[in-house]
Amino acid sequence: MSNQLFIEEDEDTNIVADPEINISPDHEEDPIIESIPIVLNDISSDQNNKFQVIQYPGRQKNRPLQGNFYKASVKTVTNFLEVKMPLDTTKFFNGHKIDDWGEDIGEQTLNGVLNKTEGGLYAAKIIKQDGHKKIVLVPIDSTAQLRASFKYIDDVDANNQAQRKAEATDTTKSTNIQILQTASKSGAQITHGDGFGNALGESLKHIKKFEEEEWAGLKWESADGTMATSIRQEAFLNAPDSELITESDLMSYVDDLTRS
Amino acid sequence: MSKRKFKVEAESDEAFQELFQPEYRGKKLTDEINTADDKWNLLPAFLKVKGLVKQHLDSFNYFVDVDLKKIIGANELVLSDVDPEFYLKYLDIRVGHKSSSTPGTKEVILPPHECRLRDLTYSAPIYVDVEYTRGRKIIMHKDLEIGRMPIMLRSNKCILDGITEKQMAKFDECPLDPGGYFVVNGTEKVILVQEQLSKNRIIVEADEKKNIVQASVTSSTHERKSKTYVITKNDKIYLKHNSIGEDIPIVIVLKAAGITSDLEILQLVCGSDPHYQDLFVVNFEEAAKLEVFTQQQALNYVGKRVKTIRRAGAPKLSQLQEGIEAIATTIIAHITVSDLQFREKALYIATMARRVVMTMYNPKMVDDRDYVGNKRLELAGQLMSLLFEDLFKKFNSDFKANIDKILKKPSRTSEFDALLSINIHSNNITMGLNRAISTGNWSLKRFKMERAGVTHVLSRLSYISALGMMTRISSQFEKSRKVSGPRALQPSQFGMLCTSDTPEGEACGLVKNLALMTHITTDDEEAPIKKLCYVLGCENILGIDSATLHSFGNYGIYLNGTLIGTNRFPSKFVSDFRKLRRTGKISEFVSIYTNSHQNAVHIATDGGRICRPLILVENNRPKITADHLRKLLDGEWAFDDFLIHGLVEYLDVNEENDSLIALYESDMDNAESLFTHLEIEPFTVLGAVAGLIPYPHHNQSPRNTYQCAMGKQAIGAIAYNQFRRIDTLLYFMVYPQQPMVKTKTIELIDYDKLPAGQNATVAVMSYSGYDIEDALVLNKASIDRGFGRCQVVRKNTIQLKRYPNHTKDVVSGMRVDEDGKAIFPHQALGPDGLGEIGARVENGQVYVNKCVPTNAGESVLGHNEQSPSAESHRETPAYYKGPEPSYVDQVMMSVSDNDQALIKVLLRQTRRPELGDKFSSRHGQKGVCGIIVQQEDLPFNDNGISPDIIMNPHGFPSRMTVGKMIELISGKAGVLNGSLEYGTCFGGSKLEDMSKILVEKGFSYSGKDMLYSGITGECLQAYIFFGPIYYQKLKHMVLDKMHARARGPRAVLTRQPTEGRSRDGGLRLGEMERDCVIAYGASQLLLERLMISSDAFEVDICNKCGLMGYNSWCTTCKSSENIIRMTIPYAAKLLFQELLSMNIAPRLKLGDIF
Repeated sequence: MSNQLFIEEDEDTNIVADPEINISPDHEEDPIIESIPIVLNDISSDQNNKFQVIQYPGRQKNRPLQGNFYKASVKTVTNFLEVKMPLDTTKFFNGHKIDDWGEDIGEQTLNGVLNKTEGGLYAAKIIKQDGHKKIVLVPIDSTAQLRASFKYIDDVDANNQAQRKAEATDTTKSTNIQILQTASKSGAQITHGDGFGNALGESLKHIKKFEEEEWAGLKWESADGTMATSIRQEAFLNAPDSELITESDLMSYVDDLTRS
Repeated sequence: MSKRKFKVEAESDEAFQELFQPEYRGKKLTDEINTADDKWNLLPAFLKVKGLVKQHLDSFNYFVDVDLKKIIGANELVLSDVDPEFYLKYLDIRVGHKSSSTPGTKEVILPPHECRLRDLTYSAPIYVDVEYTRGRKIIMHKDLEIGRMPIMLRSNKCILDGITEKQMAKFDECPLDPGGYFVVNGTEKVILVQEQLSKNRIIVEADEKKNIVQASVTSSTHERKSKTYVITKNDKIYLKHNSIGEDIPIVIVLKAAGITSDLEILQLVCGSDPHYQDLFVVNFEEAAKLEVFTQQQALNYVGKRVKTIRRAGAPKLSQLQEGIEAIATTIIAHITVSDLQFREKALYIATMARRVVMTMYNPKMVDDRDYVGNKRLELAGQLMSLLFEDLFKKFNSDFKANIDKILKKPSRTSEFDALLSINIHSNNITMGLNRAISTGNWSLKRFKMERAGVTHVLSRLSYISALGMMTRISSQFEKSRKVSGPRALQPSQFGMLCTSDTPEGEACGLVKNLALMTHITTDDEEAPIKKLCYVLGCENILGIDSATLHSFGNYGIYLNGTLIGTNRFPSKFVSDFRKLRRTGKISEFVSIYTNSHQNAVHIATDGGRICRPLILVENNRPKITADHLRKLLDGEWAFDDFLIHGLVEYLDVNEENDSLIALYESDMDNAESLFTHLEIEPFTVLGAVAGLIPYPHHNQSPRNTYQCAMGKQAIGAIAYNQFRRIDTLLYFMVYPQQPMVKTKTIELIDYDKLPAGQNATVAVMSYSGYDIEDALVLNKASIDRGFGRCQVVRKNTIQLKRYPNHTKDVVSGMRVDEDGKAIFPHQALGPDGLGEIGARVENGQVYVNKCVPTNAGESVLGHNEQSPSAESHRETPAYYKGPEPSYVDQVMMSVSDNDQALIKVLLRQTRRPELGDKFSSRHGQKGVCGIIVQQEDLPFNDNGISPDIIMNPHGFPSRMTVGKMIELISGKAGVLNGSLEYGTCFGGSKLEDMSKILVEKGFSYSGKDMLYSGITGECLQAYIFFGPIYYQKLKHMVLDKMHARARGPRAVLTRQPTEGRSRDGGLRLGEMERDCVIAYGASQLLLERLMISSDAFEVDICNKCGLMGYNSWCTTCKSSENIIRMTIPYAAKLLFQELLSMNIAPRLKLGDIF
């Protein structure tokens, strides 16, 4: 489970749509210049490796990630990815804020939901081997957009609130009379009384599930690291030589798509 | 036309020779079928497949076949709180047939006509397949009946679906009846089409005076309905929702939805447009001031302001949870959040904000609420589906409660079988559906919706009135509000909604009618379309970063209003998509169009959109060729073949905006612009009812509207089964004729088979002075011959009840006098106590001699043994009341639902036209009969023909109904020629041709004839416009209205005469009449009218205290000293007493006048 390869956004520029769906190849205007065989290397059979596109929309292109000091972890059941990176305190860093937000702002947390692609997204590479060109496609399992989370601010907030609550409960003690009263009725009976009530919303249930799931740590490899190279090698260079040939014709493919 | 030419020419040999030439009048013998003229044949083909009420049938079929299964799927499990092991799962649902029955089985209780007669509901059983646990075992049970579903006539669950005319006759059913209604408790009920603003779409509106811009969206899911707004307040943008206490700044909402970076928010809302950015940037300050930076803070902020309406027992949520719940499910509820992926919702909110910003910058970017593309039509199926889901949920929760009750008992003797308790509630679904349809009250618990007046009784006044009702669309808009916008004729209505057919008065423009060639879509699956979009090059929205979303040239792809991705080549995307649709890969009713203002491609698959078929055009040539049309005429092809072959396609209102549609094929010749579509027939802008008007394009527009209202009141033939019907009130025309001047619409809707009117020979002239104010002069001889004669039949229902003490109502035979003859009231009765068929019933006579037991109220347990045989009855006969006698037409005796005998007596009157009866031509020109003249006194022409009707020429100048004049000329030409002429809108027989025929037959080209006076025999000084015009007799007849009273019943409370003809009421001298009498100074008349003839009352008044007493005794003063007796209106006395009851003492001070 542990070994997932991450491709940075800039590197993965050619997300191609399925090449089979050129609905109307306009032959006159768009002549065929060259035919390149396509090879599909489905590494998803290998459970440990998955291609995932990770985007970090908050960061500019000319400021690529550097260094190896990233920590990544994932919650696979609830499809959540977290990346921690060290904070560059030399630039644009307001040291005074540490007083407010605590001193453990050592790293920045990025997280995002992994969206499963329903097929159709591929990482591609044109490979020249002994004069032959081929395009290797590797299906992408899921994509994720990462956004900064500021847990330290939330933690401060939560602390403050807990404190306030504690103070409040000190002053007014008996607030749970009401609960006793309602508890005397069988709760479920009432909520479902008319058939239209449900206890916890779908999203809250999901959050509960999310919070219960353990983080699974991942190993971070930089783009030119040995493991990344080997996986890239496996995915692209060592791809099987069998050319991808469509068996279904265009119409039956479209039929397949549109059949509900 | 060509036939006629042929005939005329064939008379001479020379002309015949000309025909053998290869070219004849510019036409070759081998000429192709003219696509321009013959393409109209698509219209009957369309109506053959679709019919006029197809929208109702489609919608109901979709509900029964698809929606029911979805509802079952969404509520499939019934679980028990007591026994966690127990479950019951619905697997499948069917209406009208069992899983084992052969395909095509339609299990309905009785044929629909029998249901009508016997006051039953035409329904079919609802079967479900269930899987449940009994003890440890899992049991499957198939074909469990959970209730009965009212069946729409002619839907695919109805026995009338797909049967021949002959079989229809066996069922006593009219083959021309369109269906589309329900029979509930014997009455025909229509669920009118309802017009609404589209759901799940953003509508942007601006109030320039108040400087407010708002984007609103009504989210509608199966579970809930709610409205979310994004509004501006002091140039700052907020989100507003009913369940949130105060407006939330938009930036905070977006942060709560997971977009924490201000840069990203700015990019999502404004893109890189500096104007938008300037407008939006203030909103960041607001959020910063509130110190909301992270998602959690934002969620807390939102959660704190959520109005919580938690039921007791539900878990109490923390602020954060409330916030998540609000963002995930409450706001914009139709977008679901899964896996905590808020991005879609965030984007939706951002889109709303963007639209607001765009409108702030350019106020022209607002949406038009009245635009037909922003409207959705709600049909019977959708309403039934809402109702059924509600009832089904109730059914399940009742069922669950029942199971819990049983399972709770610790010691049960037998193993628990859930099916034993499911049947208890099956009546709820049946009754719930019945009640809603018969009362029209739609109450949906889950939306807290109460809607009244959803259903209406199908008007069976004439065939057209029934048809007109089926195509009617009612608006949710308030009738009383005086606004012009929603009532105005919308340009986008063209071809979709009839431009003429709307009522006058308060509902004007709010009630509309469908045009002839429209289709209303049903819901289509979104998922395959979404998948297809991705394949066609749409980039998934989840993979797009905010910086590129609104970059130049990037078009958003919206599926049913929700952004699903972007594409850089929208025109290619759209054309690819259309290609797939035209090849039948996607449903033909999915629409796609580009909106360049919003840089958006919108795809719609939702139901309720109005669309219509159009011919596709390529390189300014229609794709339909003569060959295709020949196939159609030969019966080789049906309408659907044209769709499959991509020759015709459906366009909805929005997609119409993306196309250039040629009205006529000739418009495309040498045109500079490239047309995309061609109109099938221009007269399809009108609906079925307006289609009856001949030459409507020559009339002043309101006249056509008037005719649309009057066409529905015309007496005529109702249906082929009209004499088998027993309705509350029916009018038949005795000798209906099809019009001389027809239209294509008339033939298409079979009005010529069930007409409502007669061709009257009309002379347009002044005669006798009894023709002022549009009054008509009628020919007595024509009336004798049967012109305008009609029959009125009225139903009288008598129920013979059974009482709890085993007594029951009976019908007893007639009573006879000493001579052995029936006494006067019983003269119409037979020995069985029922009116004899054909017997004349006069005022005060009995048609059913019903008797009720005298001891009906006695209890069952009492002394029932003492007098079992001596059952005594009291006569409670049904008396006939009416100024004119009737004749017993039919007597029906049957047993209704609850085993009680049901007697229906149909009484008939035959009426000939009389003074004051109302007639109208088909051009909104109504008039009453002013005088009936002997034929001898009427003018006549050279052939000795005298008119049936004389119409005053003053009816023309101000009304400008030129169509009526052309109808006369065409009709006259048709009469002389022996042909039926056409007055189809934007077409029809040409006036020149008609005039030519007239001249050929020796008449004036202008339709004017020389007439001779019937009185003097001299010829009239002017030529008279003379010829046949189709006249309708309207249902307003003097006999039903005439009313006078000298004395009669009075209301109990006020002692004033009752109101209304039916209660033999008085004729009111109202406020305005009172003013006249006052002005005139006729005070004694006033006194008489207002008091003496009304509610004079002698009252004792105490002159001392000023209050009223009685019997010369003042109860207040306890004396009879100062009592004065005087007369006041009883209503005044009542007022004083009512005031006294409110602790106000009105005291009368009396003084002498004279």
